[in-house]
Amino acid sequence: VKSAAFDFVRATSIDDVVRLLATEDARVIAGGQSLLPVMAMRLGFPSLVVDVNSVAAMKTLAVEAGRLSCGAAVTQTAFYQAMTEHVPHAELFRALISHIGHDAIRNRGTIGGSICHADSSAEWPALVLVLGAEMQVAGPAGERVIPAEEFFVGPFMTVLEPGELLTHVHIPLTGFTTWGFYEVARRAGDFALAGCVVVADADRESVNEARVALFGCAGVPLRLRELEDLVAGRSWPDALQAVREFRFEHELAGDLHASSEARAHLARGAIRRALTSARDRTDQGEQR
Amino acid sequence: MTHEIELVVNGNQEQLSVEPRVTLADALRGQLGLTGTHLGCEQGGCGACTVLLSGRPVRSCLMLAVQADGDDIETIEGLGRVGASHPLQEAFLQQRGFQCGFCTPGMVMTVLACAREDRNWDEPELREHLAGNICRCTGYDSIVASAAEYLRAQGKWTDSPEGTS
Repeated sequence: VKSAAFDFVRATSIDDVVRLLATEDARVIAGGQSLLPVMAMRLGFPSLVVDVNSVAAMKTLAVEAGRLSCGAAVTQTAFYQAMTEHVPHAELFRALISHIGHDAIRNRGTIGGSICHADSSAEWPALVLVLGAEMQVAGPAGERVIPAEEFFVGPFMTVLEPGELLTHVHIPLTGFTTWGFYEVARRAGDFALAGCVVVADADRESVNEARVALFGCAGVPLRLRELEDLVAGRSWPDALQAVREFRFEHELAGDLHASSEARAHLARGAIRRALTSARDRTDQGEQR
Repeated sequence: MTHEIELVVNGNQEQLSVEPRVTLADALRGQLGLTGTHLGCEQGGCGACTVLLSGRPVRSCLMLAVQADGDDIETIEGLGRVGASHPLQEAFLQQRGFQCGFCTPGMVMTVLACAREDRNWDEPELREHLAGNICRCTGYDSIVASAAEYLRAQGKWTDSPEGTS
């Protein structure tokens, strides 16, 4: 398992990267934690690999006016360490990141890389979807901003055009008072068999509004709007009962690790546990 | 096209000429002769190739050598030698923390990084942390015992309520 030959350039600015990406079959490398296995297994053969780790503008992380703006080349570890108690809902990000691979992977792997790789069992795509984040993209035609909802189009597929680069992710931190996260995997750090991230405006008694996203269950992360309608305005026991009775609109993915039916069972369990932890968090004065 | 890179490996300044496709692991093993870093899966799954980059563990099979230009790397060879083993290696010896030894360099480097963190570890935390390193022989108990012995000696260990290790 060795990569085919390619050229390599360490870029130092976003303009640099965009210019280099005009090369046919050029690929961006950041942490390389997904790209290098793809290349080693010869599932991908870029002719040029452009390293963005020295692009300072893509390494920034700022919390301002209720939103978090993160450079795409920020590592999972750097992001985790920046989630101090001054950041609203910091624990949500810490809980999620601690489920991504292992320490050694998180030390190299980046936020933008995880989002652009668009593995449907990955955590970040579901998180940006549920939080309504925006993707800031640079390309030959200039900049554009893509809502997370429109970003993921299939397994390992995004709406990014050849030559485009995700530079920043803008994550709103408002509109919810509590959150929950639950992931089922066979071993800590493994790919999720099913996972759920929930953010909700809720108090101890009831859910006002909730947003629910699943990962590891289909070709793309799923936002469960039907279920959200069922739990909105309900007491917690009623909301949890609605999850137990929920039937997925489409069949969930079935594979070697879990049949479609088994995955639906795991997914319902993950949603229930994520919601339960969101409920429990309303007791702990998490609301801000 | 080859690239000229400079990096510090175990405190020694090294200059290498590498093709972009050469991983850090292959450069360490093939060009510097540091074959203590083992290559298991070469796709990030097994952890045998774990080395420290600026003191933090990374998979050396998932990093291009050319990306390590200017970086500081530590490998298992930086720890100790036969007859002058590092206390962490000594703990693995005392607790029989290996059988075939293939995963050992990755385990040792991973635990070394744990011990440098400004925090304490307990057994569940350590086991979860070591989930990124696969061992096919020991069943992990002796590895956990080895790591616990070293972390305890470093004042970085908290016994679990059951006192299992």
